[in-house]
Amino acid sequence: MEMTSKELLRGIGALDSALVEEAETYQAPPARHWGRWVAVAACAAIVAVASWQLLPRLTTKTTETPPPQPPVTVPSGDQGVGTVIPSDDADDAAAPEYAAGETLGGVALGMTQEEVEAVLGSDYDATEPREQSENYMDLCWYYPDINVRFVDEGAGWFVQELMIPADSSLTLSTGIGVDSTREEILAAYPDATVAEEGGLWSASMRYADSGLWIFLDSEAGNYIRLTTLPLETGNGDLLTNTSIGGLTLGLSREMVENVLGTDYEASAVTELRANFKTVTWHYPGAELRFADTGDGWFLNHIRLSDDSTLTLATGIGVHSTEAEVWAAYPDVQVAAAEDPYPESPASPFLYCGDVRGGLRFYVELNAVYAIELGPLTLEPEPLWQSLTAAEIVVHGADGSQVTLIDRAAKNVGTVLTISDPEPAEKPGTAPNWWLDFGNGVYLAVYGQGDLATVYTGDHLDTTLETMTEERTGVYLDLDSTLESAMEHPTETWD
Amino acid sequence: MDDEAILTLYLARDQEAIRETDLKYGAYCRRISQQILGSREDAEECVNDTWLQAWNKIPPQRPQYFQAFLGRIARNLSLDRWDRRQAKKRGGGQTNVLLSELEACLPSSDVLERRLEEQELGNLLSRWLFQQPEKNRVAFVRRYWYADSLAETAARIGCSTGAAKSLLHRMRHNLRNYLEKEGVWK
Repeated sequence: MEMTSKELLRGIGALDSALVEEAETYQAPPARHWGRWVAVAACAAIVAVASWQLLPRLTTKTTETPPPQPPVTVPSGDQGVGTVIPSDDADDAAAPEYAAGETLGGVALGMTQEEVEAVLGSDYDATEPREQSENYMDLCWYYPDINVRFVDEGAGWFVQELMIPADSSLTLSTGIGVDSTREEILAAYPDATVAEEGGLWSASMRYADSGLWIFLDSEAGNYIRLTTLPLETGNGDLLTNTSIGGLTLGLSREMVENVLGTDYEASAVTELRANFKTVTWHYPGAELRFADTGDGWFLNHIRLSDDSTLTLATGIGVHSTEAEVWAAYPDVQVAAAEDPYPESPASPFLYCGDVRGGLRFYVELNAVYAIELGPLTLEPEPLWQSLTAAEIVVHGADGSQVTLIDRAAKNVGTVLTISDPEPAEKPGTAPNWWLDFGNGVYLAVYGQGDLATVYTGDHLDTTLETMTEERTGVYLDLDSTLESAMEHPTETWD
Repeated sequence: MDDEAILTLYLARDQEAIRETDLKYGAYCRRISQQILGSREDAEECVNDTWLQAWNKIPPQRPQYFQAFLGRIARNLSLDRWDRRQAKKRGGGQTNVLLSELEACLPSSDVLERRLEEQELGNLLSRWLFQQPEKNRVAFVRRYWYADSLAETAARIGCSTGAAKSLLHRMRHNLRNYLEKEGVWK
């Protein structure tokens, strides 16, 4: 006898009615968003353990009120570094959700705002409450020595997370503080499992459990975090804590050179926006993309290709098997082709964290052929790919207009293929022609049509002058489609 | 009108029962049918047939879960119609995709130790589902009972499409193991 999937589908039709009703009335619980604070906490850990200059964009002033930020979702984190510290009172069923009995600066998880004020006073800067989702709000109090995060899920405000920066004088209930040594911490938490950090973090280690995290640094001071987020790290944590071959996102270019040396080829710097520049360093087997958002360069994205010898802390690298990935990252997910992520590959891939910016494993024939981490900060689309004007107009050299194509300019990327921009001296002449996107943005094309620059300006005359006089630009490869368009200017594309 | 009142109309053989049923559950049943068939016209016919079957079944039956009772009728009628259409090589709806996915629950030998009646298989699957976390249960039922698309299933359980796909993939694998363990598969 043979059962077919059709019979199984029929059998599913005979499921218990309660299951059917449950599926009809089910409401997904509100998504838990740990906003910037979580990312900041992770980043602050980096700041704490780093004795060198680091990531201006990642640092935070604990006495300042941060602006509201879009939430960061909390998928599963990197499994490469998780460790466990059983609490002193793990059997305390009264507060199983919290690091039982533990306090930081005298404050315990679950305290009310009044209780916190009774302990720490009222010298704090408070953020405005943010509604992260239905019945779920959060806010932060920034004391000089400690950051306190409260959440309200409908029953009032309670402490959900505590963090002290490396210069804090506050301690845990065990007396462990920023100046405690590794030996002292191990004496206070003898059952702790220590996750050593490799590569650049050889001078540091960290502890993690269901509530207590300690990032150790003997020079800059420890960073300590107490949280109700059990074994769950945000994408921010994943991105900033995952190490590949000794590299961690957020590193400066100098630190990357210290780790991998100077045997790389650098691309030209591309200015995607006025405050967002990128550059790519090509090492053998590794492509490192840096970004600069105005505060200096930092490592924003790592891609290992098939000839890389670098590995993650879990030992996973290019040529690891898919089974090894699943074993090392049990929560890894499969990205479906229909997922709305940019530049989706033809085949699904495995990922941890955010599908667009987490840790990704590209697998073919059961073996990893590429690994990506990041970006730490999503790159904005190049200016010419995010235009909203509906009409693109081509101007001839004499300024006469020829309507080229009438469509949403955001799809201009299908008309233009712009690759490998490089700085170039452009001729000190007027452009041969230019694209007017109708919103004050112009793409001027010079020479044989392969040298172009994006300009912005309110008045065409002024912009034309700039196009003629400004002597630097980016070198753009324009594909044949545009050349065809120039030859047949009345054609339109779907 | 609440379900009790509608059922009372059925039991009294009052044809107003059908109008009230259509008012309350018409959209629900049409959606199920349309997901399976991919055709509004065919779905409409199935829903009309659903009311007729409900009329014929109540009494003597008096369903405890009226909505699920109607949904099940609509689903079965839609699958019947889908079968007939397949014979005529007309596609549409989610059904082909679902069947393809459920292939993963079938062992390679495809040999049954015993053939289960539809209801028996339903009971077995229900027992397995009740062992699953709520979110997983809902995902499975939305996908394979309601024939929701992956995106709809993901939206229902509050996750990304990729996560839903991954979840269902693991559930199918888990179900296959369960069926083997239960001796359904040889």
